[in-house]
Order: sequence, then structure tokens, then C-alpha cells
Amino acid sequence: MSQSALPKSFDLSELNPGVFDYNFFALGGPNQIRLCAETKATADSIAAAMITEVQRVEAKFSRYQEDSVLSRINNCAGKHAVAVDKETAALLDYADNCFKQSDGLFDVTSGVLRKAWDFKSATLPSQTQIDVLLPLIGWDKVEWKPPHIKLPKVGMQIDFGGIGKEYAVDRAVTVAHELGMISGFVNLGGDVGVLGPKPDGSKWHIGIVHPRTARETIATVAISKGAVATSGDYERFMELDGKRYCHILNPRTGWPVSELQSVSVVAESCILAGSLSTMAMLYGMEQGRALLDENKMTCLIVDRLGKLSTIRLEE
Amino acid sequence: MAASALQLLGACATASAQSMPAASTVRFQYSYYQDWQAGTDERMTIHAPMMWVEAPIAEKTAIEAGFVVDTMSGASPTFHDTLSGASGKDIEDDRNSGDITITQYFESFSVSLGGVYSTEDDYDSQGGSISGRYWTPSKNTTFLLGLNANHDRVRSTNNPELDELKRNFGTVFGVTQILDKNSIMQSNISYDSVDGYLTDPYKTADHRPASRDRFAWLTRYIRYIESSEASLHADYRFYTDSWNIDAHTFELAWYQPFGTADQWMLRPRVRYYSQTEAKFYSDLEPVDILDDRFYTADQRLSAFGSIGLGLKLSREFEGDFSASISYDFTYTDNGLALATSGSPNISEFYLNYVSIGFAKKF
Repeated sequence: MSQSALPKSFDLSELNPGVFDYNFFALGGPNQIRLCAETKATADSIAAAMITEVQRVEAKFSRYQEDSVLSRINNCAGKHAVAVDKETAALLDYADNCFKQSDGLFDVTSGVLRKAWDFKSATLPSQTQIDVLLPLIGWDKVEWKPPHIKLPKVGMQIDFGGIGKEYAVDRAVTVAHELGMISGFVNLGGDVGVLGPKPDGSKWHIGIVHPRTARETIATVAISKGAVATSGDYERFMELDGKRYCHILNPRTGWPVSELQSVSVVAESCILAGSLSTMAMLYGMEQGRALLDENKMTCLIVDRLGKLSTIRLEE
Repeated sequence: MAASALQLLGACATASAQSMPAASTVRFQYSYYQDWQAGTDERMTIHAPMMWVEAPIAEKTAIEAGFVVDTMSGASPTFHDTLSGASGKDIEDDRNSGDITITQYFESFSVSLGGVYSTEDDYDSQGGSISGRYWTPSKNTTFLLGLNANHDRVRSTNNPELDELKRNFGTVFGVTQILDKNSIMQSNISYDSVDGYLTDPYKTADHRPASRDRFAWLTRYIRYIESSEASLHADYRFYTDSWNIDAHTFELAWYQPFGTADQWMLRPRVRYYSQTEAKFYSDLEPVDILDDRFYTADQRLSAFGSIGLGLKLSREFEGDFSASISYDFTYTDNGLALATSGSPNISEFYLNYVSIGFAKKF
């Protein structure tokens, strides 16, 4: 992946002086960085550093790249343990914590269910197809003794869906801060990290995509720091006989959740916002609300019928 | 005198409706619409190919029909700087709509019956109308009286349980008067009443009254300027409704033919529009709104003003064929509203509209 040329950028400074937008493709989708700087040259160099960092995180933790750390761990499943570096260890610790916090619902080994669920095919998997995969799921089965990790059975896999992109957001924000950039935001496929307020001190308005009509927003949150992440049943799904089957799968049953349309969480870090929103989707309305209430976060929940409820949303 | 005045413009629909169309016309048009909000890259684009036909079908009967397919994509304007949430499938909304009118001509009057329909994923509409035109023996004055009714079904791709109805009854009365050989005046008054589900199902915390009465008064003055062989159209429209919205529209258009045998026509125009806000409109973000209160944050019901500029170029060719291209630009801002200061939270809004058309007479 070329890291030299800066991607297409928009100079919005005619309408908004000192505001620079960068659009680039990574992590399987479109992404956006907006920076407020005195000069385009400053903004360009910081955006380039942020994009390089996102690409580094993607290369390191992508399950699609053969030489990524994750692929190495997965290829050694059922064979031997793999030693990991501090950054990977920190993410694995975080995944472990999420597993415990969610009574095992948030499980980074559940990605193997992808083999049964093909959303493009518009066909439901058979129960047998799912039953064959269930024994390969279970973070509690994984031998994680830092810095060594071993997946005990052949065919077991780890993937950071639900925390990988969010981690990349947090890293991009950190890189920007280290370079002195404190006004702007980064949006990786809908997971947003804010660098700091707008130059006039006001907050950024983050629209929450409507779970059923992409051209509408269902609400707006205004923040000057922290992150917003959204988990929804509309990212990858199929609809058969009026019932929706989405990509958020319960690791115990192998079947998708269907109680909520989307959950958005505002938190200090994107990885926290992302994991909480995914957990709330897995839990469903009652327990999801309780989890988010307990964690004292601002969040927005859209239920099965499209009704929005909010916790701690203020202006 | 009536005949030469009629040559002013075919755009004056009521006047030209005094006689049967002599030939059949087929028109094909393609329009492209794009809007966006300042400071964001939220855009909505609509592509709309359209076909229209007018033809005599019997000695004193004519038919007119039109059909449009709109394809809409993108986001509608809101307050935000960026979006959180997966982009999901490419959401496109297709709408088909069509209308047909049959007119029967008599010595001093005509009667028209019309039907209209529109369908899209979450909205169906059907309607009918009946209207009559009467003209005085000198043909200097024409009266119009019309009645229309519509029946709409409102659903939501978001909420599978929403299935509501909306009914609309309307009436229009108008007069067209030829003042002298170079000028025409036209004035129409219309009233309509809508009942049923008027809330926008895609906006949370949007709750609108179940009825809306609307009144509009449009006056148009057309003047032919002999020295430049051009015509000037000046319009003023006043609108008021039971949601407390008052609006004024001023428009000036200049039709300038030029070139050999006046084959070319250039039409610049300028428009100013201003409206007050609906009585239940609020800028505040939709948080905990009390259940029964009426509320909307829909910018289309806020107070704002807009300025529009447009240019159209058309040409007649051999064999009764003509082509045209037009461009319109509109700028909307709360600061441009007439009486009030407008709703502060609305960002400036821009709109581009391009249209290309071809017509052939048979």
C-alpha cells in the first residue's frame, strides 16, 4: 500500500478558513480526516502521519493480510503458542476484559462463524453448519499467558472486529495530538475520534446514521473530545421472509441478534465506545441499557421498531 | 388581438388552453439535482428522466400525459459535521410518478379530467382532478375553476408497523386577462386542506398536527417589449397556512429570442423566497420531547430566505424539433428571511439544478 502520495483532499477553506478535509480508503471502506490548521502544509503533514498510522494498524491486525500478527496467531492454532509484542498484548488484554465484562457474549474468537454466514448469498446456514463451528468458539479456551498466546484447536481464529477499527481511530488521534494538532476529527468508516473543539471553541456535531435510511440521520451528538462509535444491524445483513439476519452473531448460539437496530456510544476512547456499543447490541434492550447506564456513558439506542431512546444526551 | 397576445408565450398555460393543440408533441427531459449544506460534505442528488406527451385524439379532444422516474441518493441536510454508523448498503430511493389529463373542447369552454399517481418504497399516492375553463367571446378573459383530491399511503422502511393515510382536497380559481396587445395578467387563488398522518416518519421526535390548511395567491404579469422582441414575466406569490407559515415569492424572468428567424431563446431569471417558521418548529436537537406536543426540527419548516438565479437556452430546429438546456442555482440562509431573523442553527444551503430537454412535434 503506497504511503507516499497524500490522498484526495478538499480545501474547504473558501467556505471555512483553515479547514482541510482528507478522504482515503482503508479498513475496507471510506474514511475521513478533518483538520483545522493555519496552513495547508501543516494540515497535510499531520494528515499524512495519521493515515500512515492507520495503515500500520491495519497491516498489523488485519485478518486479510497473511503476514499480519493476527494471521500468524491464527495459522498456529492447534500447533504452538506465539509470542506477541506489547501493543498486541494490550489489545488481547482488552479483549479478555470485554469477554469477562459481557459474560462471554463479546468474544474475539467468534469470527469463525463467517464460514457459515454468507450475507451475499441470501441463504440461511443449516444448523449443522453452525454446530460444526461452535466448538471452535470460546475465548475461555484460549491459552493467554502474556506474552504467549495459543489457540488450542486447529481452525480456531481471533479477529479484532469490534475493536480493531476503533483502536486505529484512537491511534490516529494520539498521533495527531503528539504533533500538536488539537482541532479536528478522524472518521474511520463511521467510528469517530475527536481531536479537540473547533477553532472557535464550539463542539463538532456528529450525526448518527439512521439504521434504515442511510440518507437521514436519527440524532446528532455534539462533542469536543472523545469518540463516538456505532454498532448496527444494517452493516452486513440479509433479509428473508421479512426477518433480518445481521452480522452481529451471538457466540453461544451462532445466530444473529435481532433486538436492536443500532447502538451508538460516546466515550473517552473509540475502543471503549466500540466495544460497549457491540456489547449492547449483543445483550439486547434491557441488559444493554443497564450495561450502558452502569458505565455512565452517553448513548443512543434504536430498538427493533425504530424508536430512539437516549441515555445522558445533553447539549 | 387575442391571437397576437397568445404569441407572447406558450408558458401562459391558461391562455393557450383556449384551443385544441394542433399537433402532437413529445418531450423528453433529463434533470439533475444536487444540494449540499455548508461546512459538511452531505449531498443529496436526484436524477430524473421524464417524458411528456400531448396529442389530439379526436376532433375536440386532447390528451396530455407525463411520466417521471426519480432516483435519489445521498443524505438530506442536517446540522452535523460528520456521520457515525456503518455506511451499509447503498441506499437509493426510486420514485415513479405519472399523470394523465383528458380535455374536451367546446365553443366557449373546456373541461378536463385528470389522474395522477406516484409510488416509491414507503409512499404511494393517487389523485384525481376536474377543471373547467371558460372564456369570453372576445377571448380576452378566461376563467379557471378546478377541484382536486389525493389519497396517500405513508409507510416507513424503518418502522415495519407504520401504515397511515393522508387525504388532500383542493380547489383553484383563476382569471387570465389580456390587458392590451402587449400584456397579459393572470391571477390564481388556491386553497387546500390535508388530513391524516403528516408527521415525517424518518425523523424521531417529529410530531405534526393531523391537519393543515393552505392558501396561496399567485399573480403574474407578462409584458411583450417590442423594441427587443422579448417578454418579461413578473410573478408574486403569497402563501399562508394553518401551521403559521407565511411565505412570499418574487420572480422575474426575461425571454429573449435571437438569431436567424428567432430560432434561439435565452431566458435568465431571478427569484427571491422568504418564509416564516411553523408554529411548532424548534432548533433544539431532538432529545426528550414531551409526548403530546407538536414538534419538528425539519429545516423545510424553519424560517429562512433564498435567492435563486437561473439561465435557460433553447433552440428550434428544422422539422419541428427543439432542444433546451437550463441551469438554476439557489442559495438558502436564515439571514435572508424577510421579517424575522430566521432560525439560527441552520447552515447555509446550496442547490444546483441542471436540465436538458428535447421536443418534437408531429
